[in-house]
Amino acid sequence: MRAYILRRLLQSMLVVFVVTTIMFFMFRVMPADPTTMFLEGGMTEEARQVLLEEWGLNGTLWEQYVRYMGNLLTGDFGNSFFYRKPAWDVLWPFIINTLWIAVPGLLLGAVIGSGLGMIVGWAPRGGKVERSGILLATIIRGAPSFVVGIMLLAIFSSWLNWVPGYGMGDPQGATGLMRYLNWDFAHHLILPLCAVIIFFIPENLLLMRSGVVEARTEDYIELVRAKGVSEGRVAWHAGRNSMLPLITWLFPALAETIAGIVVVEIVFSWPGVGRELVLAVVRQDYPVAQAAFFLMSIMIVLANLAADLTYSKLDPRVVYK
Amino acid sequence: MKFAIKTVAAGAIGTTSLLCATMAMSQEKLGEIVPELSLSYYAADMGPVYEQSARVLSQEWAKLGLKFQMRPIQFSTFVSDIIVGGKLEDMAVFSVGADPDRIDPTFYLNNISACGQRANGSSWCDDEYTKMAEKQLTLVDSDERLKTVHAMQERFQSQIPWWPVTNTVYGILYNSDKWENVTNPSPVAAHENLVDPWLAARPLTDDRILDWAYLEDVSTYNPMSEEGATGWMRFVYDTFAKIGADGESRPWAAESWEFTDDTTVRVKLREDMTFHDGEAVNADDAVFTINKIVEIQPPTMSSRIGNIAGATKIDDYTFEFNLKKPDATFETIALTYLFILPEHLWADYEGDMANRDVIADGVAIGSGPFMFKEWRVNELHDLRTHTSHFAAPAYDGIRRLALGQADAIRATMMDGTADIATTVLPVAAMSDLGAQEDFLDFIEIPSHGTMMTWLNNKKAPFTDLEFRRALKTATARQRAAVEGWLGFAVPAGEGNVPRQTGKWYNSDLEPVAFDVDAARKILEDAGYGWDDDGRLHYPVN
Repeated sequence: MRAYILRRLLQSMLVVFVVTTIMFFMFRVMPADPTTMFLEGGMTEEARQVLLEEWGLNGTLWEQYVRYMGNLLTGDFGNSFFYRKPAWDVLWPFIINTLWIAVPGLLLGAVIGSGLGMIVGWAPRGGKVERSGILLATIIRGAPSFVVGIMLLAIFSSWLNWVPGYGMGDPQGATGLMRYLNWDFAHHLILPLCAVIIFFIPENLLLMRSGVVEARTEDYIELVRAKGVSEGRVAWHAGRNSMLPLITWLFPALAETIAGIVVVEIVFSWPGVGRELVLAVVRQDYPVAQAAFFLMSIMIVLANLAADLTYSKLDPRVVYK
Repeated sequence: MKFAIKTVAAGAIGTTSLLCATMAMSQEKLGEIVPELSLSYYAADMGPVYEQSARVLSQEWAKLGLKFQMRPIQFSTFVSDIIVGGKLEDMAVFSVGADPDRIDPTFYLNNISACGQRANGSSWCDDEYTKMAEKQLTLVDSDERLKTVHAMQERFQSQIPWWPVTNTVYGILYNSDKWENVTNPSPVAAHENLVDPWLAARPLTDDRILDWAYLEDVSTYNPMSEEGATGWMRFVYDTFAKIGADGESRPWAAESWEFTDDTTVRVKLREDMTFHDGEAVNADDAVFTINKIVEIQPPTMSSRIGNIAGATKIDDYTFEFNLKKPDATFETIALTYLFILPEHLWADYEGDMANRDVIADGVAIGSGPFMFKEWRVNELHDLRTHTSHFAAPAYDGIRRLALGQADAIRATMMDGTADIATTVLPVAAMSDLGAQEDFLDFIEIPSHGTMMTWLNNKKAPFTDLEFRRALKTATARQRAAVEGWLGFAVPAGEGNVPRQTGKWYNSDLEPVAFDVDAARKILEDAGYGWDDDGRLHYPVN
């Protein structure tokens, strides 16, 4: 087991190294450099060279790469070209804002999705419930998240005017920690959270349904039924034993949420890391964009590792060699 | 009979041969075919108007027998490759914004038209014109300068290296139930560097904070390194002059100024100004700021401070700018841009001033009409009125809501969270909302922002003046304004200076009317011809 973890850690480090390298070169081969916007305003060539040096964009690509990786080893992501301060200082407040919709969204999506999956899986094969459930999951899964977001915005914010469709709170609202602990914040949270929940329902629904469909033919289900318990109780047994793939899927899904939440944040003007990432790419703010991608790659790699390790704990039949 | 048949046959063969020969001769009179031309324009990241305008214009140009390859290019790539990179392949359609300092004609006359200028992407180089361009910059006397500026436009019009197509109409949407006296900043787009509408607006209700639905483009509250949101910075940090609705510079922190010689500008400061911490503003602060800027040369300020040698104090409220060479644009471009920092908060700072985190250090303090209160990145900026300011607005503060996209801006205007919207929300959408909702009013801002057609003047067929003349004659400016911009643009004037700059525009320039037939005649007279497929060919020689 220890050897397996060590091997997986080395593999993970290699993956992060490759991702970081690809990100570095990807931004450098873009046709315009970050000083472009200033050039339109009439910046002189001398001033441009000063900025390029200040931002570590002077020298050959190889020299820049070595410098960047060296700094990265010391935890230095560089200074944001746009905000003129360390990229990490720019990112961390946004990460907290993102977690407000990512974590509850993922968990509620898992609970609701698996609940629905249990109902659909337990329903008669080929019946209306199963067909409707699969159709619903397929439609939601096929719809881009911005479509779902805009529909929510149009119906519940613009048309019914039930909830605000933008931002994280009233401009005149509380500040500091109190801004998260009041009804105004919760009110603003509803729509983006719903968008994330809807985003996660289909995966959970389909995974749980497959598990239940498989489990319902198992002998132990007949045994439970023979005990004379209610049909709902029997379904619960089938559902509980189908949760293994679902739980292991949740780990990478959390990382996926952070990466995939970009659209939700843009649609609802939520000040999270996804929206900042898009702005960083548009502004060619390499340090912030690279730091965000680095963070995501770390999270995805660690989540996959955690999923693998948890699997053996949850299912004793799994043995690592 | 046989003879007759032979005669008819011979005649028929002869006629056919003659026709073939005539056709061959006519083909021989054609030169090389004018190859397919690439037409670059801003891609959809800048909105749909450029795609639509490029298509409308190219449809009319195609009637001259030209074929086009349409090339949408993302904004930053367009700027780096085409505007400043000298990589224009054939033609481009794009626009420049209605920035306050472009009310001075130098941007159009020099920056994008004269030899050796970085933003002269159409690569036109005319020595006579460039001499005039350099001269106009040094003519501190306004009348003399005006004559040269007009003469330059005549020279430009005779050469037609590129031409303006439309002038942009911007808009303001505001809540008229809550605000009044929201004044029109035309011919400049709604820019915070102006008095209108920001400082003129008056509240009608108890809600005395003006909420502006916008996006996030502020990078710092340090005015030495902020480049994109310079206007917002100047709500906090006073400039020496401001541009008024008439397009003229008006006194602001400077009570008056005068050129004492060609390279010295004497400035008299107002005596009633204080910084937001209560300290008085005086010439020491202004001289300290200017000399520090000259010393450290912040890169983002380079385009405006290159000609300043330094500043010298005369008395408590008077100082002099020392320039390296005469500069006729100093008033419009530098005095409306340079700011005053409090010497008592900056003099002892030993770090890199241009990158100082002024919020963390608690020194986001200027003397402007608004005081910094809070910045929640990607959420809002909160400024409160500096009540002792000489031009303090009649309300308590201004908040800039940093929203992600146009739908959110629309929603904030509809539910009353925001009071005013300017750009980001398309002008057509603002106009519609103003018409649909009783509590929203729309203000149309005709501006000097210009969409233009650029040509690669170093490459055939654009090296031929007659070809350029024909292309301009076939430029459907009205169609571009109506179909490309949905009516939120007006056909541009002649020459290279926008009509909206007022006195600087030479209204004596002969108008070039849109006429495709006339354009074809110009080409025909110049020796161009068309083949059977209607494609344009160069003259034989």
